[in-house]
Amino acid sequence: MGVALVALLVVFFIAAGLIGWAVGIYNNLVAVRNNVDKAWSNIDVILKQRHDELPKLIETCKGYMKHEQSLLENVTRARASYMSAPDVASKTAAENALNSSLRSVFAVAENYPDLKANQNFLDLQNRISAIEESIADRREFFNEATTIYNTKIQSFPDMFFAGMLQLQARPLLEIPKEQTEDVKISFS
Amino acid sequence: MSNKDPLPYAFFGLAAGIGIFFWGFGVRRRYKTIESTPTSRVRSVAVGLVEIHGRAEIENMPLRSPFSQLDCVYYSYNVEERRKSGKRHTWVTIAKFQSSQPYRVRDETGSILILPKDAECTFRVDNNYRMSFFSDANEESFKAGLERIGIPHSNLFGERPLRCSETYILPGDELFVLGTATPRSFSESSERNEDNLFIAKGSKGALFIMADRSEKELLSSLWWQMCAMIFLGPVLAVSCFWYILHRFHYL
Repeated sequence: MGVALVALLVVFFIAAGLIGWAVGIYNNLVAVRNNVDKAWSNIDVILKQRHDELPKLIETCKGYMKHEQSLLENVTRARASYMSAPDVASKTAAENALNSSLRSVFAVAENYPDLKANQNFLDLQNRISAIEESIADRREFFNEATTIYNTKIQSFPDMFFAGMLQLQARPLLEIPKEQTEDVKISFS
Repeated sequence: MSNKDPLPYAFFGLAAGIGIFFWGFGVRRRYKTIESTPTSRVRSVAVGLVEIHGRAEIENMPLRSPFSQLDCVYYSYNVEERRKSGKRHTWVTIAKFQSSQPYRVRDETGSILILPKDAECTFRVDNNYRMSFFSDANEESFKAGLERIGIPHSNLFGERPLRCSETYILPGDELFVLGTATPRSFSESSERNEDNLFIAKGSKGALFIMADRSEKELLSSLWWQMCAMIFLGPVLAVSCFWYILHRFHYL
């Protein structure tokens, strides 16, 4: 009987250990997912500020960049797809596309001296550059949160729980260095 | 049962082993929270649980540590006295203090206010003091410090057997802080995000950790604690249970 009682205590520890371990993994996965959502909310506010400037930028550029209508349309389309994106993953992808289009617009603007001299364009350029600084820090935070999340859901044994919770890997806000620098170009 | 009967210790060991085992899961939760919380730049700290690294800065006036007499942003001490309990001597805490004056933590993007009240501090002890047979400069600072905090260092029988550990954060010391960023109540908000927030202990159960070591070192220390508790707790409990059953002739 004594041995059975000791065995029972051992079984209790093993069972409690397994339950505690599983609960810990589940809670941690929920926490890292929430971290990504929180990091996104943090950056989303600033991104919206920048998006609010885009129609004015396009309107200003339209008059000068008559041969670059497709570029401007790409920005409009990317902005629209960002606005209609249902979740963080698709919003991130849309934001990456928007940044790419915006970079092209600023790069091509170099070829239009009249546009570069336009005060409205310069003001918009400066405002977008200022917002970009805030975005940079928050993007770093968002990417770190997303990397932690992606690593967790792909590592053993968390991957089994991630599968049960149907957690999917999420894209990073990838912005190459030169792209960021392009946005920061000053035409003054 | 004689005084040397280990049975009461076995019961205590059984309860302690079970407690240590479950406490290990609490440590595991803290480990996972620190590990999975991304580090924020001060400029972009958001409301909620945040983790920052930076250097300590004085907010208004520096504090003065009572024993080492250094200008600092935070200090704590623990004074113990050696007392006789039965045939044994034990160290009993007679005074414990942790400063709660706000200070700032600065990184390359800005600085943010920290309210250290109720923080769980993982700091290396900076100074240890102890009454010794031979009086030296260290003991003199200890006695002066005891007077400052209102503890007499001697009684009718002579010098009291006291010891003390003191910890402080000097301006410029590197810090790791994990706490809850909360909006400050201003009539007008500042343009800088970090001026509108402070970091303190959040709701009940929320972590608030201040450490003078890197996140990696902190995690490593927690990992060893967690493993020791989760594995050694059951070993202790089962061993004690085995002994108890043996004493009552079940084995």
